[in-house]
Amino acid sequence: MEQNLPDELYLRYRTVIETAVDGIITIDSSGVIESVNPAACRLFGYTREELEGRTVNMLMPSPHRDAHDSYIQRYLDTGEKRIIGIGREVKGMRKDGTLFPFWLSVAQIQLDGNFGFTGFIHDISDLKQAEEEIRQLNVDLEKKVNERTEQLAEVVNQLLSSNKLLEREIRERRAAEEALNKNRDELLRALDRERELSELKSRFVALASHEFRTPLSTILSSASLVKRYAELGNTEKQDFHLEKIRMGVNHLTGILNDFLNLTKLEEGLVEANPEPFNFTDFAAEIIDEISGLAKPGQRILWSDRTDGQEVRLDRRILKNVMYNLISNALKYSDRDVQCRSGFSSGWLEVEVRDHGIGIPETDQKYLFDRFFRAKNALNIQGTGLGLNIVRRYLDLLGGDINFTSREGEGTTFTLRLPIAKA
Amino acid sequence: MKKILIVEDNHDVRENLAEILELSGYQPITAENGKIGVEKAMQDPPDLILCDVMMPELDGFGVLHIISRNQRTADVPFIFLTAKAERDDFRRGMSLGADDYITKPFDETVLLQTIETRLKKSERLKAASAPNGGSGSLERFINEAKAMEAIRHLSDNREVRIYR
Repeated sequence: MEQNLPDELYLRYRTVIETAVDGIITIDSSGVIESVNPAACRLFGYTREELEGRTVNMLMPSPHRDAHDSYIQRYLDTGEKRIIGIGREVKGMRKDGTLFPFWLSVAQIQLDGNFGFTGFIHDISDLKQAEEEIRQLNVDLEKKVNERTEQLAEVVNQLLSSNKLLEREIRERRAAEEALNKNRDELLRALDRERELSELKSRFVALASHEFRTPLSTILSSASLVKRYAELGNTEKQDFHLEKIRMGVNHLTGILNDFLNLTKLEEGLVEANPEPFNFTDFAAEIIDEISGLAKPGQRILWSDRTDGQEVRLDRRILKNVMYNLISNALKYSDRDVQCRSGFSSGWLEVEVRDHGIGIPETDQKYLFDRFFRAKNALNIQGTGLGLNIVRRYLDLLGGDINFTSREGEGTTFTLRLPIAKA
Repeated sequence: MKKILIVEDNHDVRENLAEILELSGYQPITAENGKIGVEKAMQDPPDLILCDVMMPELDGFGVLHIISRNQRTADVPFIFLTAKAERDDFRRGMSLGADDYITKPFDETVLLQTIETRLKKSERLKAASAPNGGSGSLERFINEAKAMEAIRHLSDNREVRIYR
């Protein structure tokens, strides 16, 4: 191509173009290739002769191949730069039909009033390859990461579920341990209770033993004395001691019965068997039977306000209770004993009052204890079991008992029983 | 007549014991609880004490404890007469220094035998440690010896006739 340039400069420019690494192609305004540099030929795989004079879209794959003409036209019409001065990544088609990526930058030429364009082709195959490799690597990496993540997730899951199993096992173990401890505690408590009961029983047996041996001593010693007085011919003394023996045996029998009753009550062997009966008749019966225990001049006065109404209670147990209270009243006093009975707000109330020795205040809280004898009662015979039995009987019948007392003045016992009117 | 103190809270047993002792030739003194028992023993030391264990105010063990610490009464024979018949009770009583331990109900013969034995032993011990001439038997010997001397001097200042 001829130029109006000094040869030296022309040569220089030409060398630059000829030796450029990037392909340089010039086309006219209709897209016909005017010139190509060796790099361009090399890139596209054509010879110079094969390219020059042909339309440039032979180097493009569809769809650009067909559209290229319109691109040029559009630019010429609108002047809108899409690629000119900007550059873009495009795909080129080699002679052998293979495609390769390159960076295309286009410049506009104007020579002698004719438009033309220069395209600079920068092969980015390697770049693309590298990009692709990186991409592939990334993909692989992603995949690997996913796989590993999956694996990790699985391991974590396993660990979690293993953990859960362990936790559950720990919980179960702990629960078992607690249950065991509770069991042990319960056993210990049961053992303590048993021990307590056993101690109480021992003490009870020791106390009872004493209570039996004392009247037995009286009986035995009186028997010896009877023999002695028989030898001495003293019949008065003989009778005296025979009477002592008789009373001793009675006392012993009383203790024995009380003791047996108490044992039965303690073991829960006593049951209340309620039956309907007339309380007024019942009261009369008791007075009749118990008068034998009264001292000379002592009377039992009973003011009954149940008006012959029938009540439903365990008659036998109630009799025991009344006997106990009234015989106490007779025993611990010299004067008349007054009883009262009546209904009061749904209860059967019975009162036994005496004007005897009374109960010292400090002893009052122990009165219902087993074997308890108040200090002012010690010279009067008694087992100390009666009131304890009375209270237990009343518990059995669903009732209660209370008393008021003043030492030296007397005592009043009041018991209440729930009545289911027959 | 030997004085025997009966410390027993049960009226019947106490009275019967007193009668038995009286009929056997002893002089009974009665006390109805441990406190009174100790008082009476201190007041007028008896020759023997018969003591129950379970009593109000002061129990039998307490009585023995106090009695044995008092010089006037420490040497008085002490017999427990009690309904407490367990081995432990027995051991406790004996360890406190009782001379004997009889359980109730008691056999009259056994009781009287025990009393007699204890009184005899007490007598012997008293004689052995009599205050005037603490060396009892030595004293007697010397006295006897002195008496022998005196007999020798019987024939002083008297005409002695010898018969062969």
